Amino acid sequence: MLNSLTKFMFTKQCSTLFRCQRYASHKRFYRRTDIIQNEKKWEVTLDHRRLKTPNGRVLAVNTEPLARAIAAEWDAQTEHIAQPTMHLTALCNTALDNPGKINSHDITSYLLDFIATDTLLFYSDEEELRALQEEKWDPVLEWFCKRFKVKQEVSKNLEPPPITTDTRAVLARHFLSFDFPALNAMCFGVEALKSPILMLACVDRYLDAKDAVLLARLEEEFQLSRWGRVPWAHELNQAELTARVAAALLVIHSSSERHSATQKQSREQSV
Amino acid sequence: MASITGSPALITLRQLLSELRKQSSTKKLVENQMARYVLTEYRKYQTTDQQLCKAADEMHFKAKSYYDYLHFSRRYKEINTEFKGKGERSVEDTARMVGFKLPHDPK
Repeated sequence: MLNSLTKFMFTKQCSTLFRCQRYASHKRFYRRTDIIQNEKKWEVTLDHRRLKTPNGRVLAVNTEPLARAIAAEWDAQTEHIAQPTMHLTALCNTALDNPGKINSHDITSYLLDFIATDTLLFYSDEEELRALQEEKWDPVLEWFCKRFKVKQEVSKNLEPPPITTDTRAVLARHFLSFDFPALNAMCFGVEALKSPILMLACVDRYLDAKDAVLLARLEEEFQLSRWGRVPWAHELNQAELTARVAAALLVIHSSSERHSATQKQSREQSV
Repeated sequence: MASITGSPALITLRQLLSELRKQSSTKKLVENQMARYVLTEYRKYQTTDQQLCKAADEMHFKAKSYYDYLHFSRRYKEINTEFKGKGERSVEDTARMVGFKLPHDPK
């Protein structure tokens, strides 16, 4: 009886092991990673093969630094390729393959609907926490109102605050000024922070990724100061969120960089 | 902070290079392409800092984001490997835990 039970357990364990292995068992099959330029686009090579997306298209990005960062990411893999932690590659893959078959307008309307449930718009009932939130969040909200010339109410209960059509229009225009890869990255960052306002502040360089994650996790941090910190839950979460937001920022900034680079050249030419 | 040569930017550079050293597969940092690229970018924006404060700040912000990305990805992996479950205990381990011996073990 015991024997058959252990045998059963063993096979079960084996099958889960096997599944895990199939999921993450790509061994590092290349030595060097490099980049090449191909008609204004940059591609990543592993030894002499070009890196491709899951759908089989060649992974091509707009700027050199982004391509270099992706190459460095593949270079950093040791024995196995840990794809779940390679956010830059994942973001570029998603932008190229577009598995959800969505366009910029879909993402924009999703982000606009997200604003009503933005973390920064919900203040706590508890006085101590509320004081902390007012101290930390108010400057960001003030920046947001000033930057987009809008007015935004906050909620003190569970009801989402009203978002005026004016705000929606201004933000829709702002979101649509980004290209698809940048918007896709923006969506990724917003989902990590649970706050479009914080993500916009990051994109505008008002906050950096670390501070934004801290503000997004303000309530958690407040509770931590009372109940203690557990590295495998809180620090792990913080590290993951910060890595995600930073990756999103890198993609967004490198997609808008090309824009400003051409501008600068034309100004030099006119001088 | 207006200049890429200012000390906050240099601190970021040092942190960035240290992260690159930790993750690079090449032995020397000089052989690492990304490190070389970062250094040339820093040099490139060194000269323009006086006229284009905004560009320098942009570069610094980018360097900071990249550092954050490398640093926190590494932290995430470290915490994950440190606390990752090792799967189920074997029958022997369980028996030892409660002070039993298996039938075929010597008494």
